[in-house]
Order: sequence, then structure tokens, then C-alpha cells
Amino acid sequence: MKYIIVLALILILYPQPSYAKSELPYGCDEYSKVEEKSFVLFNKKQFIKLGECAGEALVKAKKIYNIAAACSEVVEDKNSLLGIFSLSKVEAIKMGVCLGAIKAVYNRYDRELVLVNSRYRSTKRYYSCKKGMAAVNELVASAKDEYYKRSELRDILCDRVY
Amino acid sequence: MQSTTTNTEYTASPSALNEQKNNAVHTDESKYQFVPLTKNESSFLNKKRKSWKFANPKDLYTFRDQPVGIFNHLLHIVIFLVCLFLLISIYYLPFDQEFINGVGSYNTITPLERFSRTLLVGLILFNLNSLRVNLKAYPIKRYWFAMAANSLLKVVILNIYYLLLIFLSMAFVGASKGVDLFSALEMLEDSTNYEQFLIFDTFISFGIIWHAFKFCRKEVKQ
Repeated sequence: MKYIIVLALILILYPQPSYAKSELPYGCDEYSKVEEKSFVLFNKKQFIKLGECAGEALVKAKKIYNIAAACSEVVEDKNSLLGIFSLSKVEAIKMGVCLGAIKAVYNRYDRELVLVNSRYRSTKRYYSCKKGMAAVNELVASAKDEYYKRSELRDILCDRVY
Repeated sequence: MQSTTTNTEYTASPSALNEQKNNAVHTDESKYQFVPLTKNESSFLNKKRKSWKFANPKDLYTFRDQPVGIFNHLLHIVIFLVCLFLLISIYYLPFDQEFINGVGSYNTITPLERFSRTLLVGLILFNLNSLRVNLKAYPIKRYWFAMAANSLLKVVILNIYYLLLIFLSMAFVGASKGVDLFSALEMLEDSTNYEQFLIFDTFISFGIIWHAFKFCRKEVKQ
């Protein structure tokens, strides 16, 4: 009986309220149910997916804010002492936003043809974009502005190759 | 219910040294050797007995057979409610939210923080419950609220000291790096040592509550 009371107390005390004010971009409505979940412990992947969707939509539609801070969460998560136990909802979504932005830029520009018009000749080149941790590190190091458009992100992440 | 001041066993305790002569028969515990008190000492003892105790569970426990006045009782209830409100507002109300531009605002609480908060609130409830169990064996009038309010206020005061210590040390750390206190606190929150700090903080808070509620777990029986 005593243990049942203790368990019930823990069950009442543990799920503290988590209010989310939704402002999801158009096209991510399927994640509106994910938002209301309060446990990061069991839903990390879903929160990251929600962030990815939001990040892709933001990059495509308008501009994306504070991407260096968002990407530093990915690095922090890789180096953290306690792993998932020190991951909050905000951090999971920020990680998703960073990964989603990188994915959007990669899908749009990688292996795309670019014509460089110099004075004497025009040459064909291709974009080669970074992906994964390399891109994350690049953004943490060099994305200093408050917001970026997609083309500006492309200039950071992609090189022109033959 | 009961009259604590006329209890015969009570006068055998060392806290009632100046009434020893009448009750020499009942001193079955011979380990307490009675020494004559000087005037200053007895006035000090009397002062301590009658003083109001608000953040002082140790004295309250020592002089637990002194009756608690009705006005003190009301003050204790007020203090208990205020401290409870403080704890609830710190641990439960969602002040900690962060806004992500274009996505919405979400709360920043981590599973570790949740765990530690649950642990601390559970510890407080456990101590209050053990106080209730102790009082069931030996009931004292208006003692539960007095002890609970004293212990909770002591928790709050010790936490204030702890907060001041953190502020002071962060001010020193900030000064060594050439920034002010608040940017030093922000730097701590962003740094990789923050998790270690949180673990340390959990242990310290646990210790504070365990120490402040020490007299709730003690038996009240003489």
C-alpha cells in the first residue's frame, strides 16, 4: 500500500505542465499533435522531425533566425555528459531546425548547375554542398548574422566545383 | 487533548533544569547530571523558551513542551502557506520558456531537472509525513504547523544563502574574464559545465532539505 502511494505521488509529480504556443509553418500541421507531448525522453525523434519540418519550411519560405545557436545544440548534444537526460524540448526542436535547414539547402542545390560568367568566357560549374556534422560545424563557425536566406546559406554551405 | 506542561516525565529533561527539585523522584535517567544555573544562564534559558521561533527547528524541538500560542500558530500557518507558494511557483509554474522564431515557444525543462524537482518535492512530503507519524505516537498541540513552517522557512533561508554564494562566485568568475555578473551567469548556462553544475546543484538542494527537516524525522517522545 505504501509503495503504491509513493508510486502514485511520483506519477502525479513528474509530468509537470509544458505549455507550448504553436506557430508552426504551413505544411507541418501533421506535427501539431507531437507538440503537445511533454516527455522528451520518449519522443526525441519526433521532436527532431518536427524541427526538421519547420526548418525546411522556414528556409524555403522566408528566412531562418539564429541558426548558429540552433546548430550549436547539435554539437552540445553530441558532447553532453548525460545524453538525453539533459535534453529539453527547445533543444530537441532547435536541433531539428538546424538539420532541416541543412537538408533543405542540400536537396535544393547539390549537383546543381551554375554558370559563372566572367569577362572572357562562361564556364559550367556545379554546387557541391556539405551534409551532416561537417555542415553543422561550418554553420556554427561562420553563420554570425541574425537571419539568413536560402541563397546566403548556400553560399556558406556549398562550393562551386568543376 | 493533552497538557504538556504538567507532564511529570518532561521535567526530567535537561531543558527544565530550574524545576528539578520537585521531581527528583522521577529522574530515572541518571545520566543527566544537574548543575546549578547562574542568573544569566537561567534568564537566557527562559528567554530562549519564550522566544518566537520561525526559522529555528532545533530550538523548537528542544523546547517542544512549551505551548505554542494562538497568535504564533496563525503566524506559523501564514509562513507555511507562503513557503509552499514559493516552492510551487519555483518548481511548478512554467516560467522557463524559450521562443524559437517561426516555430513557437516551448519549455526548456530537461528530464534531469524534472527528476531533481520531483525528488526534492517528494523529500519534503516524506519529511512532513514522518513528522505526522511521529506526532501520532505522542501528540503535541499545534506542533505540526510550527515544525513544518520552521523547517520550510529554514529551507528558504538556506537556499537564499546558497543563491548568494553562487552569485558571489559567478561575479568573481565574471570579473576574471572581464564581464559583469549577468553575462557570467549566461555564459555558465551556455557552457558545457552546466550539466555538472546541475548535478552538483541537485545534491546541494537535497542536502539543504535533508538538513533543514532533520528534526521532523526525530521522535518527539521524551
